[in-house]
Amino acid sequence: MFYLGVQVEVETKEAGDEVASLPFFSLTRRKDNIILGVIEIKDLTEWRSIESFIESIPGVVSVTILSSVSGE
Amino acid sequence: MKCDRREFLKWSALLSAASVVGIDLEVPSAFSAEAPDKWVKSVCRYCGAGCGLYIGVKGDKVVAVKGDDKNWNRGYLCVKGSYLPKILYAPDRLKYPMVKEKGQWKRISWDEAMNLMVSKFSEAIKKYGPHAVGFYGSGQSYSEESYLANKLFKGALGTNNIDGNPRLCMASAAVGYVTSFGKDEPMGCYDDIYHADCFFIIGSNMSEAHPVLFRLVMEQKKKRNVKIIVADPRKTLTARNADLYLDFIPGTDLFILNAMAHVIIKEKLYNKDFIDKHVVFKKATPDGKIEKVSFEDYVKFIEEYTPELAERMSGCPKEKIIQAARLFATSKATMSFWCMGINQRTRGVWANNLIHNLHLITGQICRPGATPFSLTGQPNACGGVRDTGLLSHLLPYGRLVANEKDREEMEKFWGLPRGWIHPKPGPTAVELFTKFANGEIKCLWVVCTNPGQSLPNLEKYRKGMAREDTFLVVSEAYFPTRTSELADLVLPAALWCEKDGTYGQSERRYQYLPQVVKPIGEAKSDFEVILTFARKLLTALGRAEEAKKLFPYKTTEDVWNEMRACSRNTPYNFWGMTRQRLIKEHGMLWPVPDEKYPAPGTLRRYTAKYGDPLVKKYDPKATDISFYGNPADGNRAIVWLRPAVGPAEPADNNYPFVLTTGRLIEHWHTGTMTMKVPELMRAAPNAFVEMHPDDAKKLGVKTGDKVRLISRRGSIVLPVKVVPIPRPGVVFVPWHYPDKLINTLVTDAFDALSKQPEFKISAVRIEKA
Repeated sequence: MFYLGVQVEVETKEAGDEVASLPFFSLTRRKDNIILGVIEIKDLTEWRSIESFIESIPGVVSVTILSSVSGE
Repeated sequence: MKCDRREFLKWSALLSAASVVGIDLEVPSAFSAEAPDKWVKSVCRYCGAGCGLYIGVKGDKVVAVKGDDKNWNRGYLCVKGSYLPKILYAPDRLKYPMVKEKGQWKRISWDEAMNLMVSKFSEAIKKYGPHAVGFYGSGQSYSEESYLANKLFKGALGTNNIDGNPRLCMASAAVGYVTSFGKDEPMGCYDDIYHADCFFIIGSNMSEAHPVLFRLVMEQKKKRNVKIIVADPRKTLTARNADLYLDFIPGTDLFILNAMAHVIIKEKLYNKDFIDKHVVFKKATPDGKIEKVSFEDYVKFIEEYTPELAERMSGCPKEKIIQAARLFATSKATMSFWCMGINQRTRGVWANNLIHNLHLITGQICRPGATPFSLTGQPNACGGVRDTGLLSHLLPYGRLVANEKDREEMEKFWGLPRGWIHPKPGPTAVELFTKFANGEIKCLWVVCTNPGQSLPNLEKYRKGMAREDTFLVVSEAYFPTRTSELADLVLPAALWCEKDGTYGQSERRYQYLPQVVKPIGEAKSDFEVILTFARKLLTALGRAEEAKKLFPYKTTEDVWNEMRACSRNTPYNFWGMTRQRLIKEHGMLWPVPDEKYPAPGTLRRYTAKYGDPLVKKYDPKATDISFYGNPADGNRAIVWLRPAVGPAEPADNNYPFVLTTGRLIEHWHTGTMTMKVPELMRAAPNAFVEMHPDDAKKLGVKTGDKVRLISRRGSIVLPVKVVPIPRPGVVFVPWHYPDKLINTLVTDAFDALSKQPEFKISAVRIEKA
């Protein structure tokens, strides 16, 4: 498994609330329009689908990987 | 708080990310006992973008990376970069030198390896002269390593049999800049992304090949609604994000670029004032002479390149070409990006010139956001090879082998007798391996690159590398590779943060990479190996005293200081980039003429108004813009009259498809590093041929079926992936996979000016397998 430290930038509070409550987005922290959290993935294919899903939430500006830690 | 391993790993990721964006977190006490001992500032190992990052070290092992929020990438990393620690600990790391004896590999000591290598090279030089040996370097070696190799071969040995793999990826861009502006390297910088309101991306799949840079572009699109034009024969992820997408038959983009200029001239969207002050016009005559011509001559030349002609030749609708030209010319600031789709062509230099032309006739240059910017594929192709002059026609910092004054300068600087450096440019990559294949070069040293997989028309050169009467040495971090399997001697190389040195990336940004951990096994830095070899070889040639004089260095910093001095009286001047400053700063952009010159250096060149300190030095009368790299034309840039010419091997009745090759986001180059990362391999496990649904229907194949691709040079069987990404008639194959050597099929025809091969266009036919 792989653990990605992910930043999601939002432009509305509602979008921030929705992102922060996503079940696969853990240890979330908020600062202004930034939500930070960890996503556990097994490979890039899974990451791509998660990234697309988050980007499709209205009010989400960007999804960015800031760090990664390998579980293997 | 209990912190099991899974929780620990999650916290590690979160803490690294939080430090990038400046969010303070309360660290669980159980976590702190297992956290990295330290974070060390460094740079990513992959593409030429040069993302800053921190390496997390625990004990003697790299355990994590995180983005550097103070560097240009603002803490962002791509997924590939995020997996970097894993490349260090792959099971196939080469740990000790090995020699091939009667077809079997045998472990030997470093002393034995060096003695054997010195003996082979010195014997060849004594018997046949210095041109019997050669060196093939890399845009991934550190600058100090490439500088040393260049000094050894061009300087000490007096042979220009030295070239590097940037010949395969960036040579056309380099010659494009030199022919248009007098000197290599972009004048703009990444900061221009924040100022441009139109991006013209041609021949580049930025979203996969330079993902962090493309993220910055997309961020501007979301925030400022900038316009993105993408021209590419494949509807890549980059193209799918464009406001205007121009697709075309591969090799016909010169028609499109000239047609855009035609529209700009016809609709009077050009900047006559800029042209009058800063531009000259030139053309090459059929007998190879260069003629200066007038603006009116250019207008007349461009008249025939109507959007209608471009549509006929390229298949791209004329309305799109007209719209692209208008957006390009009328936006507040237009920034162009291009990469291999433009460079890996038999008319790559001309295509580069035509992009520069668009910027020059519209004045979209030398101000924030307005710039022609060539993207770079490797992390040190610019700083290590183009700048240090590792290519066979170059000498350090913009000097040319063919220029007597430049040779004299370097002879004086290196302390060599006058007339020592050979006046004829040496063989370029394909020519170098041709000479090795025909036995003209007896001993060749390949460092930090994999030509046994990356050269075009591969079988021809692989056979040459496998000859038993020549001697091939390969310095490599992994074993085997498709090159080292052909070698006579392999030397284990330290990788990335196992050694120290400098990278120079595509915006002229130089960055220092410290050694963070010890090399694995008996691996050594190429710096140490080249230095040892240079001293021993010269000694074996009876030149021990010269060895001491020419190669007195103890550390990479000693070499760096010599490089700074070598750059000092050139337009590259980075004298002010001391090692200490590079350790402290998050990258610096040359020119940096003195130690007090503020970081990050010079963002934009050729403009005094926006901070180029060298304008006043080279062109004291200039009030702002001066293309001082080209004093012969009054410090003006050159608009070239370049006719549209197609590829060397277009599709025809016998070979009706165009094969184009490229990258996937999951892998990098020949896969020696990324294919050691299980997560990346799971995502992109095997090669395939991407085909348009219309072509798949005609051939009667579907995704997963196997087909045979056949070119004039070879054939290969691959599974089909049917997607509406390539245009009909074009097929795409990623070139990463060592078990599917797609370059076997690729033509080795090359650009007459840059000598860069046309990897992007080869004709193939396709049969069901």
